[in-house]
Amino acid sequence: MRFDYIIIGGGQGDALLGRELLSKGKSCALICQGRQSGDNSREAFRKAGGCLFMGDSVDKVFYSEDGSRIEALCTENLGSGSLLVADTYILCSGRFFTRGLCSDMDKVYEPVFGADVQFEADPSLWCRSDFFCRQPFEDFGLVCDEGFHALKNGKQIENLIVAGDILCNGQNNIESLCKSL
Amino acid sequence: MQESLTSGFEQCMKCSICTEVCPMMEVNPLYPGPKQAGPDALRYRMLDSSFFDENLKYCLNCKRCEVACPSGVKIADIIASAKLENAHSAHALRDKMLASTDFVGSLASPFAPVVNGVLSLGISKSLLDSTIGVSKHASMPKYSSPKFVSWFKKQQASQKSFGKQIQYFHGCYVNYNYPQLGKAFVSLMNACGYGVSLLEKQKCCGVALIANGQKKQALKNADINLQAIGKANAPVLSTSSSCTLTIREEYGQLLGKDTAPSKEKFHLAVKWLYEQWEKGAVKFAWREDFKMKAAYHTPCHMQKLGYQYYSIELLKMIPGLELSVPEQQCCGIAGTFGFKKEYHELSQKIGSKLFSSLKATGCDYVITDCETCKWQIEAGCSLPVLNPIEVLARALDIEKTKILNNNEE
Repeated sequence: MRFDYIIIGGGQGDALLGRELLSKGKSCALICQGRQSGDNSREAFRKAGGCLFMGDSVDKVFYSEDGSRIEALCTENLGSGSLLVADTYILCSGRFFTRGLCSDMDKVYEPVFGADVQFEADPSLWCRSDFFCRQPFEDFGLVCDEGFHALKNGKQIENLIVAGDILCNGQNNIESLCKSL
Repeated sequence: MQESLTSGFEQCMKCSICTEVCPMMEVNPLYPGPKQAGPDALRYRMLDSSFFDENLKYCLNCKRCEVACPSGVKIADIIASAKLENAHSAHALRDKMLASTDFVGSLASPFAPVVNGVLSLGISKSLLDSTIGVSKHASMPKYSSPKFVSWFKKQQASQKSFGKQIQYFHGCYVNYNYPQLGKAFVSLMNACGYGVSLLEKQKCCGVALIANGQKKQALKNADINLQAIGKANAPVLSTSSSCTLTIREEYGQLLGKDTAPSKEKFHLAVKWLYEQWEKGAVKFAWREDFKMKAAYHTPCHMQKLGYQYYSIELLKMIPGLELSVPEQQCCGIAGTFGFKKEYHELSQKIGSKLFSSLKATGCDYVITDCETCKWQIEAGCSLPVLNPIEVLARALDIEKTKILNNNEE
């Protein structure tokens, strides 16, 4: 299937971003692992004409020969023979809770594209013992260039835009919501 | 229980989003809900099977919980697997009859007019209700005579003349109840330049056997079907979303079979057809006089497969079709669940929201990929329900499509 935009979702604003694109006459698909509690924005996105691949995740990414562009994606549900193709891909998959970012004992990584993540190299400095203070890992996230393109091994991926919480030093929704209470 | 289930449940982070989308939770306080029935209770059942809660019988296996789960936990498979190992039914004869679709179908089909007549009589319904526990309020699916396979035998010779071939997994529903879907499939494939042969020695996929705890028979059917698919020398297509989910996913998750080789060959027809169209291998010409106002209902199993856009996008190609797609909701029938005396009312309560939203579209037809959704919607909405393949076959200008696809029949 072919679209103007494919959003790899999970983050808070994935469907809102999708609706914005639909309202500009663009075709758009949203791939997201699951629902968010009490959130109707994804259904609104579907009703507005978006293709919602709910309960699915990206399984494979096809790059151009020089690695500068994404050519297509495969998802776990649709299988390796079914390509989802777009002019532009938007990574709006949130942070650790929504698995936009993952970590093991010594590194933090972005699991879909392996895009460059900025994080503290010494794992002992990832957390502070005071649970309620701002934690250093909250500032980890993707690095991008001025046009919000993701980088991989320092090189721009031309048609992969990063949006939302997944960006390093970006908006922290949990903190914002807590402050607003 | 499969290792992927016993290890995967640890990913549950107790967000409870699965309970928010569970259709049974909304209508039945006795059901503990997918989180508690699935990953929460599994850790106890792994210690001692006596922790099995009989109220798991209320799970519809609609898999909406799995689609909603942000952590990818196979909640419905965990519950279905526990039921398959532990559940006991108070209506063993009824469950066996409802699940043995091939056996019952082969007995009923030759006498279809008589069987249909008898089954629609009030007195027969009351008798079935009071003796074996089939709800007297349920409309039983009609049997058909001749069977699809008997009709197809007469077409076999002409099918071989096509250069390109596909194989058809018709399943029990097309064979015994609704041959017109199989006929529409053959006519559509022929117009697209493909000859059809039937998947040899095929059995019912076993979705009803799994749901009714008939594991031994389900394993037998799975072995026969997987072997047949393995031997097939062409793509094997199905017109049912539930058969497709069972063969592609549940044989592996619930019955422990290796489904990887069959996944390469076994497809839902609408997905395969869309992808052929996308590659330019198949072309369509539409009838100018075709007009229809319809609503597409996404079956729960279709949503789990993630294939609904293949049906929707194919249907959108039809110029004379005014299509609406309301929000996905469960119809409540869950295969054989809605026919059972003790569950029929629950099944109707669950379906009532869907019935209202379908009627609100003002459609003349409902289109859906699942046969049991069809039965439930026809009974609940009094609207005719078609499979997307039937709509495509009706809307297609067969002769022009044949020419476009260089049909050399």
